[in-house]
Amino acid sequence: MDPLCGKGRSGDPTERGKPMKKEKHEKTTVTVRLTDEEDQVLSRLCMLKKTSKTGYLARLAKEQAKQELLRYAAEEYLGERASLSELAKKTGLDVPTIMDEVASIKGEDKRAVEAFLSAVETISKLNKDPELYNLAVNAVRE
Amino acid sequence: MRVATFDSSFWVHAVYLDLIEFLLSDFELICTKAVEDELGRDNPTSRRLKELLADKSIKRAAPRSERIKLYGDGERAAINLALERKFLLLIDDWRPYEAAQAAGVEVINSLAYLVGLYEQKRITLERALHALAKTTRRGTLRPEWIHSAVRVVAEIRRKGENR
Repeated sequence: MDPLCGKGRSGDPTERGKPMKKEKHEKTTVTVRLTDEEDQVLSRLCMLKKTSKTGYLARLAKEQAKQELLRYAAEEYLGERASLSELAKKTGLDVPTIMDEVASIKGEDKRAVEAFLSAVETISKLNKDPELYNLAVNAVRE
Repeated sequence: MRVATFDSSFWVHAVYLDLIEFLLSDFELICTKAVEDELGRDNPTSRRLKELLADKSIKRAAPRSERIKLYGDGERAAINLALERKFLLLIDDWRPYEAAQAAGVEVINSLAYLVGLYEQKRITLERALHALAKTTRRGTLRPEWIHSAVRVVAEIRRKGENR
């Protein structure tokens, strides 16, 4: 796929001749050039899904871009290269959404919980306080 | 009552750890527009903030100057407001946390606040550990901060203050 060949704006035809108002649903035109093979695949899918190629590509691009923005923000935050506030500004995402993405990435990481329990275990032993460790184990399980 | 402002990350953690009622009884909370915007529109944390802003439990304010120019809009506004009016700053994002501290702002993160609640016997050990475990699983706070909080909780308990 050869993306982005031209870019333009389409307005409301009823507004022709009048000064252009800024509308909420104003659209940007992006031209996408496809090879025959790419077009065939896309056409088949859109026929089966009963959708237009434009609609399908627009939806796909939006969903994919949002996912990549989220992933970018979470990785930058986890890599300690940017703050949440900076990333919210850069990506246009809100802070809770970025934090949820960070949590979903880190949620797969069992090492953090193990490190937490290990720290509590060490302190429990030092303080001769086994109950502290037991309570931490229960807290992690909940 | 001490006046405090906060950044978005602190607010998200405070809602997640169910600390809002404690915060409202301990501080007069002030929120900047930039933080409100950063929290978005349709999620539990922003809805909670909007409710509290609507019933005036939390007030709005904006900094007049920009002594700190780094970071994103919400953090910058919160730091500058705290600097300008000598408010306490509740903040969880570690880089702006350190920048604010270096600029002379009094700062607290959500875990230090949580430990304080345990020390004051306003929450149980089970609740404190549950919150620390929950934060660990979520991964949105520095592990060093969590481990420090664990050490302090254990120390408070060792001294027998909370047994």
